[in-house]
Amino acid sequence: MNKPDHPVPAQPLEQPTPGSAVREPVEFSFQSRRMLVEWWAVLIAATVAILAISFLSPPVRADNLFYDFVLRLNPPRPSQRILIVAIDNPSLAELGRWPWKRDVHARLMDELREAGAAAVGFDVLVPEAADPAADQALAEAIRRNGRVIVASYIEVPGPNGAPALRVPPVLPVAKAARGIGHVTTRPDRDGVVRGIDMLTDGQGVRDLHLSEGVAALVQGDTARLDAPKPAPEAPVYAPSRNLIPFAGPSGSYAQLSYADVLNGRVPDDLLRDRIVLVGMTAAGMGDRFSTPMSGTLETMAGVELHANYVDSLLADRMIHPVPPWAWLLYSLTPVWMLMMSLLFLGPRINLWLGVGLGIGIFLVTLLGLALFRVWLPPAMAMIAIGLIYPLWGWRRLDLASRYMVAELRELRAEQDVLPRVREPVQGDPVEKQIMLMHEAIRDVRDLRQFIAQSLDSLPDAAVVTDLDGKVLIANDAADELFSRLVPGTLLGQPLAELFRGFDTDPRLPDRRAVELLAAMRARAIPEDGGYETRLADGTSLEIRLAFFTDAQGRPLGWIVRFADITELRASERQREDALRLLTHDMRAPQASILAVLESEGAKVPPELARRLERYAHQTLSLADDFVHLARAESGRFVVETFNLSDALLDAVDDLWPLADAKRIRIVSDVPDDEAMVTGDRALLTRAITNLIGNAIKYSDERTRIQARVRTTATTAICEIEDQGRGIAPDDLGKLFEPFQRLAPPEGAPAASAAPGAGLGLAFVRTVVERHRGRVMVSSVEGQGSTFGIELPLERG
Amino acid sequence: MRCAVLDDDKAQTELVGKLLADAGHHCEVFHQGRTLINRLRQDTFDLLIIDWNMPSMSGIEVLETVRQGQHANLPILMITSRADDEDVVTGLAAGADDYIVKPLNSVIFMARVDAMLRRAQLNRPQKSAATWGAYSFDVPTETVTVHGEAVKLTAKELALAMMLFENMSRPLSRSYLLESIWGQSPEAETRTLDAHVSRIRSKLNLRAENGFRVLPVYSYGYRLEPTNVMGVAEAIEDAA
Repeated sequence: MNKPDHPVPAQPLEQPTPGSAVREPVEFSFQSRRMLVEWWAVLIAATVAILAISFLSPPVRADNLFYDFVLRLNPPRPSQRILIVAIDNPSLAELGRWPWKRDVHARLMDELREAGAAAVGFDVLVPEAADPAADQALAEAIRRNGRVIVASYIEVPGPNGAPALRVPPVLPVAKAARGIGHVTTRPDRDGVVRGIDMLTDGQGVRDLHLSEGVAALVQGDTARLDAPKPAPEAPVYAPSRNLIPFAGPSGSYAQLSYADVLNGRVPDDLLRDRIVLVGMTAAGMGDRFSTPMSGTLETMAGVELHANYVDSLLADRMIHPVPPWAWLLYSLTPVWMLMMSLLFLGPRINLWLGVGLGIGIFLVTLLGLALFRVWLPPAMAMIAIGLIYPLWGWRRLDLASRYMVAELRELRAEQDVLPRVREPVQGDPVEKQIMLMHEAIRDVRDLRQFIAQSLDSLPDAAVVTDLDGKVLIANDAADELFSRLVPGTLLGQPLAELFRGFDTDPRLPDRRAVELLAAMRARAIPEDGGYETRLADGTSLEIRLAFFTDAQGRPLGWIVRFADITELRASERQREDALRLLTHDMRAPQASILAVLESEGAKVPPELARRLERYAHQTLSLADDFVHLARAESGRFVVETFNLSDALLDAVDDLWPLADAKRIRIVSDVPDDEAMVTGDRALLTRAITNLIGNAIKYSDERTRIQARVRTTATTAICEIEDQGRGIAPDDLGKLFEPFQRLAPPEGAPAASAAPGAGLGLAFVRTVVERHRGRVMVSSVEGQGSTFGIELPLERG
Repeated sequence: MRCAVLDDDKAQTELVGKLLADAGHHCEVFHQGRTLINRLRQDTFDLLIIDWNMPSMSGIEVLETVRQGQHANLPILMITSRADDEDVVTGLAAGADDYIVKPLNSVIFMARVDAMLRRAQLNRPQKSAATWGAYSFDVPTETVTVHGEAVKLTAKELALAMMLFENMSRPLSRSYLLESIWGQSPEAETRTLDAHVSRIRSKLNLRAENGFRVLPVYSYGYRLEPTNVMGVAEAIEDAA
C-alpha cells in the first residue's frame, strides 16, 4: 500500500457537532408536546360538555326507552296474594252512580273482615264530611276490620300561601284506620309512570304512600305505620324515587268486582288472607296512567299501580336510581378511559376499545338492574364516547396536517441539491397541502434518480449498505465487478459475503478484511478505512469504507468503494524494480572499484588511490541517499512502536567512530521515561543519523554535540545541537530542499566539502513529515545549530 | 580452513581470496552457483561466502539449495551490494549466518569471518561467570561488573545480555531471542524484547565508546558488536 501501514485505531462514531446545517431532532418532541396540550384540551372540553348536558338536558328519552325495553324483557310474576276489588262498570251499574253512600263501603269492610282478608288498601278518597251517620258507619266498620289503610291526598300548593296541604280522610275514618297513605303519583316527562316519589316534609319525616302502608301492615311493621306524620301544611319534597318493576300490563293482578264482593257472591275462601286493594277501575272514573308495560293505547288504573307497588315492596324488588354524582361518574369514566387509551395505544386497539366500552356500558346497566336493582342511565356515557372519537380525530388530523404543511414548507425553503423551479403554492388549504406533498414526493423521486445516476457515473465500484453491512444500493461498476465473484444480485447480500469473494487463499483470512468487518459490527469507522486486496486474476482492489448519517448525524449505513488500482500497483512495482536495479547496478561497480583498490592498491600511487577511493565512496553514498529518499517518499513503512531514545542511541553509536576520528564528543541525553513513537524505526534512525552526521561534518575537531530526546504532552522531540559554524539565516529556509548543500568551510577548497548530494536533510524531512511530525532548525552563525524532529507521542 | 567464495565479480573474488589467504585460509573461487553446488556434493568446506546478485542462479537460490542438502550447519556469509534492510532480513531468513554489504571493509570482513569460523568450531559450555572486555558476568548473583562497578540485573536481563555476548557479532532474530529467554511465556512480545534491550544497554552502558554496541538488525533482531572490530577475535575467544 502506498500509505503508512499504521495499526488502525478504531474510533467510535462521533456525532457531528450540531451546526447551522444540522437540524436538531426537536420536531418530534415539540409535536408530542403539542399533542399533549391538545389531548388535555379535548379531555377537559369533553368533561365540561358532559357535565353541561347532564345538568341542562340529560338524554332522559333515550334512557327511558332503554329502561322500558329492559323492564319488558323479563317482568316478574304478579303475586297471587294481591287482589283488587274494583269499582268497575258492573258495580256502578248494580250499586248506582258514584259517589256511593259511605255505609256501602262500611259493608264492604265488614264483608272483607268476615272473609279474613290480610290487609285492605282503601284507595277511595273520603276527605269531606258527608252524611255523619254513614261516615260513622264506615269508621266503625274500618275499626272493626282493623287492617285497613285509607287513602289521603296532598294538595300542592296548599291554600292561603301554605306550601302544601295534606288532606286526610274525614276525621272518624282517619281515626278508625290502621294507617293513612297518600296516593300521589307523578308521571315522568313523557307521561309514563315508572316509579313513586319518596315524599318528605324536608325535615326527614316521610309521607307514607298507601302501598307502603299496606306493605308495612302485611309485614307487621308497626313502627312504620305508627311513625309520626308530617304536619299537614309542611312543604313536600321528593328527594328520591323508587322505580317499580311492573309485573305486566293492566289486568295482571286478580280482580273482583266490588258489587260481587259486597253482595256475598264471592266465596270467603277467595278473600281469605289476601291483600285487598279497593279502587276505581270504571271507565271515565279515577286516575289512569301509562306505564312502561302498557302499549300505545292501554292505561293502568291507580289501584293497579298500587298493586304493582305493593307487590314490589313485599318482594323487595324495587329499583333504585343511582344518585346524580354516581351517574355523572358513570358517564365520565368511560370517556377518561378512552382518552387515556387514545394517548397511549394504537388506533386499531382504540376502535375496539370504544366498541367494547359501549357494550360494557350496556352490560353494566343491565347487570345493575338484574342483580342489584340499581338503575344506571347509560345514554350519557354512550353519547360521551360517541363524542370523543370525532373530536379527538379532528384534533389529531388538524395537528398532523399543520405539522405536515409546516415541514413541507420548511423542506421547500431549504436549499435543494437539484436545481428546480418552484411554482407558487395556490388554492384552498387542502389543495395547497396536496401540492406541497406532491412536490415533496417528486423531489424524493428525483433525488433517488440522482443518487442512482451519480453512483453509476462513478468510475469505481461502490455499494451502499445498511449498518449491518447488507447491500442496499450497488452501482453498475459494482454489479460488473461482483458478477465474477458473487452469484446472483448484490442487493440484500451481506458485505462479508462480498469480501469472501476476495480471499484468494481461504487458508489465510485477510486480516484487514476481518478488521474492517469487525469495525463495522462495532459501529466504528477505522481511522484509515482502507484495505487492499488482490483477486485471483491479478486485479488489485483498494476498498475504502465511509459511513453516512441522517441530517441529525445519526449513522445510517456504510458506503464502500472498490477502486481498481491494478495499474497503479503495476507501475509502483516497476518503479520499485527499477530502483532496486539502480541501487545494485550503481553500487556494484563502485564496490568493485574499491575491491580492486584494496587488493591492487599498491600498484597505483597512494594519492591517486585515495582520491579514487573517495570518489567511489561519494558515488556510493549518492546512490544510497537517492534510494533512501525515494523509499522514504513512496516506499512501504515497516511500522512498529518503539522508544525514540533507542533510535537516538543507535544513531549515536553508529557515528561514534566518525566522531571519535574528529575527537568530537557526542553527549547523549535521554529521559528515564520511554518516549514511545510509532513508525519505521530504521528510517527514523537513519534520519537522526543524518542529523548527527551533518553535525559532525560541519563541526570542528574537539567540539561537543548534544544529542537529546525529550517529550512534551503530545510529542517526542529529538534534538541535535552542535558547536559548529552555524547556518546563515538566508539558508535556513531552503535547508531541507533536495540537492541543497551548505557552503564549504571558508577558505577550504570546494572539493574538500563534505561528500553527499545534499539529499540527507530532504530525507529527514520526508521521513518525519510522513510520520506526521515536523523538522525544526535554529542556528546562530559562529556558535552552532540545533536540528530537531518532533513526532507524535504514542500514548499507553 | 577451507573457504568457498561464490561471486561473478572478479574484483571481489580477488579481494576476498587475498584477504582469506593473508589470514592463512585456503580459498576456492566459484563464479557460478551450479558449479559450487555440484562441488559441494563431493567436497567439504568450512565456510561459504556467497554474493547475492549473479546471473543464472542467484545467491539466495544457492543458499536455499545448500541448506536443504546435507550442509545445514555450514556457516554461510552473504555478501551483496543490496543495502536495504529488507534484503538483509531476506538473506538471514533464507539461512545465511551473517551478512555484509559491499563495499567490503577488509577489517570488518575478516572479523566476521573469524567470528563465524570460531563459533562453528566451539561448542559453548554453560558457565557461571564470563568476562568480555570490561564486562564480567556473575550468573548466580545476577551481577555484572563493568569497569569494577557492580550492576545488578534481573534474571531476564542477565540472560539476554549473556545471550548477546555469547553470540558476539552474530545477528540474533527476535523470535530466537524471545523463545530462548522467555520460552512460550505469553507476555513475551516484541515490545518486551525492545524494552529489555533498551534497559541492559543503559544499565551496562553498552555504548560505542565503551567498546560494545547493540546494533538493531531492522525487522529481524539484534546483534552485539565490539566497536573496535579489531577486538572481535578477542571477544569471541572470551566467549569460548
